[in-house]
This record gives sequence, structure tokens and C-alpha cells, in this order.
Amino acid sequence: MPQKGGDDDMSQYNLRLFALFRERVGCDVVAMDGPESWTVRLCLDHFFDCYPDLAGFREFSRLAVNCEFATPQRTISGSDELALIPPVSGG
Amino acid sequence: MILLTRNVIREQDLLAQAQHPECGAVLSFSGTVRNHHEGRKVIRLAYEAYEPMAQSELERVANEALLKWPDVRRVQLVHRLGEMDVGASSVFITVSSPHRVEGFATLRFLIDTLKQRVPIWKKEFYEDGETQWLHPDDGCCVVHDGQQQSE
Repeated sequence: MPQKGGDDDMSQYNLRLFALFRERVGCDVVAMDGPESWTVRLCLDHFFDCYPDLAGFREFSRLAVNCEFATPQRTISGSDELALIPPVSGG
Repeated sequence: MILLTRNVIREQDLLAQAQHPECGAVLSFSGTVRNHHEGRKVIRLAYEAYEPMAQSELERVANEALLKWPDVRRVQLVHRLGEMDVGASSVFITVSSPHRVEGFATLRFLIDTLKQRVPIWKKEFYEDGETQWLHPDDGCCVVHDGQQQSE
């Protein structure tokens, strides 16, 4: 991660949280700084690095971008609506 | 009707709307709050959703079913959110089909797919005062992964 300052192209990403994640983190949305053209995989990696006690869910959690499940390779921007989707249990 | 609601599900209304003159098979599924989970006594549940996405995923699941079984005339999916007691219906699904075989297949697909990928989560409240969010390993999209990758 480059150091802050000068002309680093960083963006703020707001990640919506639900269920266990919302309760463990203690808020509905977390803000994370990342490069301007970030990928879903790197964004997820960063979140789980920040919250290692949730890392057991990494394999089974997905990122939704603008209300659709996104592939790990997809690039995202700070204006996208991002949501972390832990394993679901509706029904 | 494809709906998320915080109210009691009006099953009779949905069943009435499921009637269709071309359909000899009207199937319904009611998912109800069970009083136990892995040996623990459950006194109530709460469901939370990422509502805009849950609504659009429910619509996608319904559309996929209608593409997969084109003879099926009508499907309805209603999921209740918020807290509810044992015995309450948390999800109600209807399928209206000319014949039963594709009706059963469609119903099975709808509930199974909903449980895999619609962003809704269940919290159980136990008799001893503890609570637990359920995040099963088979939730979240094993099926959807395959579909995404083939796009």
C-alpha cells in the first residue's frame, strides 16, 4: 500500500455490513481506503485483514456491487454501492 | 407477487392469487419458524435483509425459474423480515403449473435457490437467553458462482 500524500490515487470505499458482521464490527457501514481502481478480491482481502476474527468467513462471503454478486476480478470504484454478503440463511 | 414484508404473510390471499385456469397444479411452500436447532430450544427468530438486493435477487430467482420451466404460469415469493415467533411463516412460495411434475421441480428450485443466494440472514433466540446468527457454509452462492463465471 503506498503511503498517503502527494498524488497517490486513493479512494474511499464504503462497505455495508449485515448480520454477524454488522454486530461484530459495531456499525452498518465501514469506510476503507483503497486504490482508485480496486478489485473485489483485494477489497475483501483488506476487510478480512482488518477484522481477523471474521477471517473464517472469508471463503464463504461475497461482495455485492450495486446489488449484484460480483466476481473477484471485477474492478470497483468509490461510487459503487458495496455490500459484504456473509453466508445467507433466509427461508 | 415478489415481496419482502415486515407483516404476517397473508397465505390465503397468495393462494387465491395462485389460482389460474390453465393450471391443474397449484403448489405452495410455507417455511415456518421451528422450535429447535441442533438440540437447542429456539423461542423466536429475527430475519434481516439487504433489502434492495434481496428484492432484486428474489425477482431474478423467479425469472430464472420461469425460463427453466416455461410451462409454469405464475410464481410468487414472499419473505417476512423482523422478529417472529415459533410457528410463524417466514417464507411463502406458490407455483402455478398446468401439471404437477414441473410444478414440484420449480418449487424445489425456488426455495433451494433462495436459501443459497438471497441476502437474508436469520438470528435465533434461544431459551437460555443466548442468540446466534446463522451463516451456513452452504449459503451464499455456490450455484451463483458457477453462473457468474459462465457469463
